[in-house]
Amino acid sequence: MIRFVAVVALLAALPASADAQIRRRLEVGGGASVAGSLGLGKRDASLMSNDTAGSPYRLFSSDTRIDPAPRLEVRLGYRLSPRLTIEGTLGVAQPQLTSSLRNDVENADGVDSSSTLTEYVIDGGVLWRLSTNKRRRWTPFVSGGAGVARHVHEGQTLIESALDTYAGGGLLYALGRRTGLRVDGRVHILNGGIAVGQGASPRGVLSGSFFAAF
Amino acid sequence: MRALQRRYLVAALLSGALILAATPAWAYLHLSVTLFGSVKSIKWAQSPVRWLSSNASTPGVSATAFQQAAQAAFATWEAVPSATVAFQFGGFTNATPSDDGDGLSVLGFEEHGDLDRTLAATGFTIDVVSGAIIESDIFFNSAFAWSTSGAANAYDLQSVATHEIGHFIGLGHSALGETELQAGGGRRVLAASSVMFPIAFGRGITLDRTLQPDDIAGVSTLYPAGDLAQTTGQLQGRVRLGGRGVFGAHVDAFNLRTGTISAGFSLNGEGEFLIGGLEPGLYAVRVEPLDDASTDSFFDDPGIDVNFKVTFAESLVAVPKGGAAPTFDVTVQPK
Repeated sequence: MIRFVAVVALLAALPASADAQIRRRLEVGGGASVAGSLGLGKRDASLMSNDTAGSPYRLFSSDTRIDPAPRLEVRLGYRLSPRLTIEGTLGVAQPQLTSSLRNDVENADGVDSSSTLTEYVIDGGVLWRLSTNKRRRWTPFVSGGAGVARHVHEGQTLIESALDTYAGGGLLYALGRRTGLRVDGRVHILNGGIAVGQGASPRGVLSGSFFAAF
Repeated sequence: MRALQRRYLVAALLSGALILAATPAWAYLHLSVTLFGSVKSIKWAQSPVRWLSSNASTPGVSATAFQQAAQAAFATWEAVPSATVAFQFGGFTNATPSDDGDGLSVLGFEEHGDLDRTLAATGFTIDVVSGAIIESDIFFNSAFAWSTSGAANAYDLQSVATHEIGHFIGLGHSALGETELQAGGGRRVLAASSVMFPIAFGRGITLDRTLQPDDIAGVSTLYPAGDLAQTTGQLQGRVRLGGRGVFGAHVDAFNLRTGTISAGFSLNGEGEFLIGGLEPGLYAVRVEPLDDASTDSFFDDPGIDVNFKVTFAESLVAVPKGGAAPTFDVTVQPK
């Protein structure tokens, strides 16, 4: 991720081509996305065995995840050059947080224990257009950035924050001079906060949105 | 029952109305008494708590080695940062742990060959008005082989002392353990994660020298340090069976991030439970019958319900910092 951001930063430092000297302008967009399942980690509930080392004695196992859910997104961008836009995104979703509880030592029936989360994701990043050919309606792009994911648990009793980083790409489709559609796919990685297991887990997000430029 | 059964709680009664039981407000358990219709936790009112070490010795453990092991066990409880309990060694004494009502809290060896399943026991003298502990004594049964070095053929004195000192300060038994029935009677521990589990690990095992999260939650809620209520949270709910409450169900709270387990019990006819002193975070909850040790190791009440299946709660529970998660029900099915 760090390497990707560095590449984008280098690209941003290149001078814009002569045929693409457009006015800097504001871009506003909104749409919906579907976030895939996010694995939060596996962990056993263990006691200490009756041996000198107290080796783990599994009471039951857990495998925790955020289930797929639709997300509403609004985006504000500022086009710095024909290729480069900086943008910020706010996404809101209400996924189920589920932990599969299995392998009970006393043969309890396995269950998927769950609760509802409200997830707010605030990201800042860059979008780099791979083409500036005005005769084509389609413009491919790559994007990347980082931000914060805030998870508010059911009952609003607990709020956790995690670092959210993403990279992806997609297509912009011009409807007119100032409006268009955007389709993009991203891979998000969450670190800290709600994650319960070891390491970060990737999550795919597919979104479609409308945008207008001013 | 076998000699492995170490922990037999003894109440030195000052009043016929005194009944050792569980405090409804907390679990793990805290010892409590019903005084004039009011339930009170029993705990020390003064700090530091002064204790004496008996001059008695046993083969393999001198009086000095005994005092050092007991001192280390007291230090283990004293070191819990979220609790305020403190102790002071008052010297060696010829008094015995059986000398009740002398105002001295004595720890030491005594021969109790008749108690062939009891490694050690703790007795109390309490103020019948306030519930404050006035005196507490612990005997270690010298009918068993003891060691302070983890010798394979003897019980570890410091481990058992750590358990008994848990009683000494007002903690009851925890049910965070799994056991199996022995062919000759009694139970053998398969695994446990609380020093306050009522049945000892085997000879030569020193694991109970170290407190587990369940023990730390127990002492912290009994002798809370200043900011405990602001830095930890509570989990509360009811265990239900066929529309009625289940009394005496064991409730495990498993922190999905840290992997720690704290536990409590449903403590009334409504099946209500409350587990405090929890690190904020997301918890899975598991309910099981109290069938890994004799129920009277935990409660005096004969009405403990053990006729239901082990069950996971359908909801995950988010425990907040400085507050309580919303109340929830766990519905269990009969066996």
